[in-house]
Amino acid sequence: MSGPSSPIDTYLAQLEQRLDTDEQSREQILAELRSHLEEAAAREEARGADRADAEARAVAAFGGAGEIASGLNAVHPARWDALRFARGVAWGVVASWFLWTLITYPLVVYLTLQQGHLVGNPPGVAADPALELLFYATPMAFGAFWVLATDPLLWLVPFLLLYAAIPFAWGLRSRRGWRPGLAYGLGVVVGFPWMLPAVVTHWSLGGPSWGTQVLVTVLAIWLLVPFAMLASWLGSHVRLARRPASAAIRRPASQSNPSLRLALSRSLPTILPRALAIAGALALIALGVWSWTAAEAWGARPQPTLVERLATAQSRLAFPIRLPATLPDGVHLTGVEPPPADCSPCSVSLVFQGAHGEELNLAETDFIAAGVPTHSPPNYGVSQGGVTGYHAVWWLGETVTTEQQVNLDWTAGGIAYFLGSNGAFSADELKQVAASIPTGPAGA
Amino acid sequence: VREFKKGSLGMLVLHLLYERPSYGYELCERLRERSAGTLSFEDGAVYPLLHTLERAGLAEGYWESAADGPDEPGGDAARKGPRRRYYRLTSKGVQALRAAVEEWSAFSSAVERVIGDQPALDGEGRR
Repeated sequence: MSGPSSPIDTYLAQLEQRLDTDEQSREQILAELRSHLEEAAAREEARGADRADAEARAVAAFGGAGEIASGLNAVHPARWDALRFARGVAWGVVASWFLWTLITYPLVVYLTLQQGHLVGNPPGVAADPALELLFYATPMAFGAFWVLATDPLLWLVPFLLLYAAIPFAWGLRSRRGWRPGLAYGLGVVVGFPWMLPAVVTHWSLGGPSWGTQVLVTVLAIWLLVPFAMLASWLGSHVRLARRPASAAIRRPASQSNPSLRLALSRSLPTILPRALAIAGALALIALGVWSWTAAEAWGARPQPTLVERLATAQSRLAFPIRLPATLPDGVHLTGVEPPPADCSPCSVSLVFQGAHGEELNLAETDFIAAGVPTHSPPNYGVSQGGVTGYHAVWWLGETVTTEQQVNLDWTAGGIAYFLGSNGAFSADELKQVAASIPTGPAGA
Repeated sequence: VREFKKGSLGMLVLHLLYERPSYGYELCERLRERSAGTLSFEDGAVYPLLHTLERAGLAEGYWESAADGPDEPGGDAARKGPRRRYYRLTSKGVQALRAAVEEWSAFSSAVERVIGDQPALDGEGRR
């Protein structure tokens, strides 16, 4: 019989580790294989080999533990029990967070560099743009949606990786048909619990179009669970189709040099998926490092002053930028977002901030080119009034922090104005600011 | 050629089991002996195949001690050896073997008809 650390025991232990069957099948398989190996070793001993050598020869003739375990796993699929399923969901959560962030980050950095300013509305985790954008790329923020809104084709990259490549690879490895895809897909859904509040928030703050976009994205993530299942199923069957032939015609002695081609063809099905996974992971990490470096360099570049940014904005606008003469105490101009060079309609956004986080946003748009004024979100109360004699519309609603948010839309002199705040100012304060903006040709 | 080889092992194992019930190690030895060493494969590869045949209802597996195994040379019921898992063909397996042999015969005849009358392949062929 084989000793405690004999080649046969070691081999069977390796094979057992790779077996993914139920307990009863595993015991039967191991007993059957042990019987074979013991008999083969006994035959080698009878031919004159010592016990250890005989066992080593029997093991060598038996074949790789991984390939044989893989073949047996396909015949004896383990039940997809609750624990296995929960594990799959957990992996889905981890993978979705990790990949979503790792893949979205370079895209967000790339688009930020292209547009020349920080995208979206990062919550200001740090003054460091590389870190802010990293946060923005996580599933906690809206970087991926911003990529979707800006360049849907770019968004396809994380989309395909999350819902096609990963479940496909999992199916390829586990050969459990659609089940890994279901667990993984649900894991991705569970990994995004913020989505429903995000939809509500964006619907109420950003208007129907943005809300619809987010809603469609959320639904897409749910509806693509079957897509992940299909990818997993395909992965399982690709592997079945390409399993190498078990029998091989022996080559004549003159050609029996242990062929590199034969060795490669046997090991390729095992090596190739791993090599692809490692190469993909390395490429993603390299891309992430490059993105971080690029964002750091971008953040360290000399920043144009407010005056320079105002001058840039003015050079791209066909109307004069008008600043309010009156602002609440302690509030001053802190940001100017010029329009792109090829804008149509053209709009400048001005940000005024106080020392305690209070914020005013003023946007001035070429109304004639724009054609229509901004409309209020449907759940806001709307009232009408005037600003320096021009017709104005007030939107009044509750923000997510339950403070009352007031926004004001009006048009004057061919320019559409929008004045909003983060809920830190009353309607009267906003009206005072609006009235102090010199509107129309007479006030230019 | 790979598909050709892959398809043939199943038929060969079915045929050996048709001759007599057998267990994995013995099947490997019989294959090697009967093919005079031409068919070479890793022994372990026969087990996924045997289990597949069993799952498909073409073969039936059962455990027996070495000494009381079917046709075991020198079997002694009083002195039981190590237990082995034997396989025997079911009626469905016999039907499958017949179909496979018919298909194989048709295939090999067709190949023979195509290449049988050709001259020896010692030149560079007609251009």
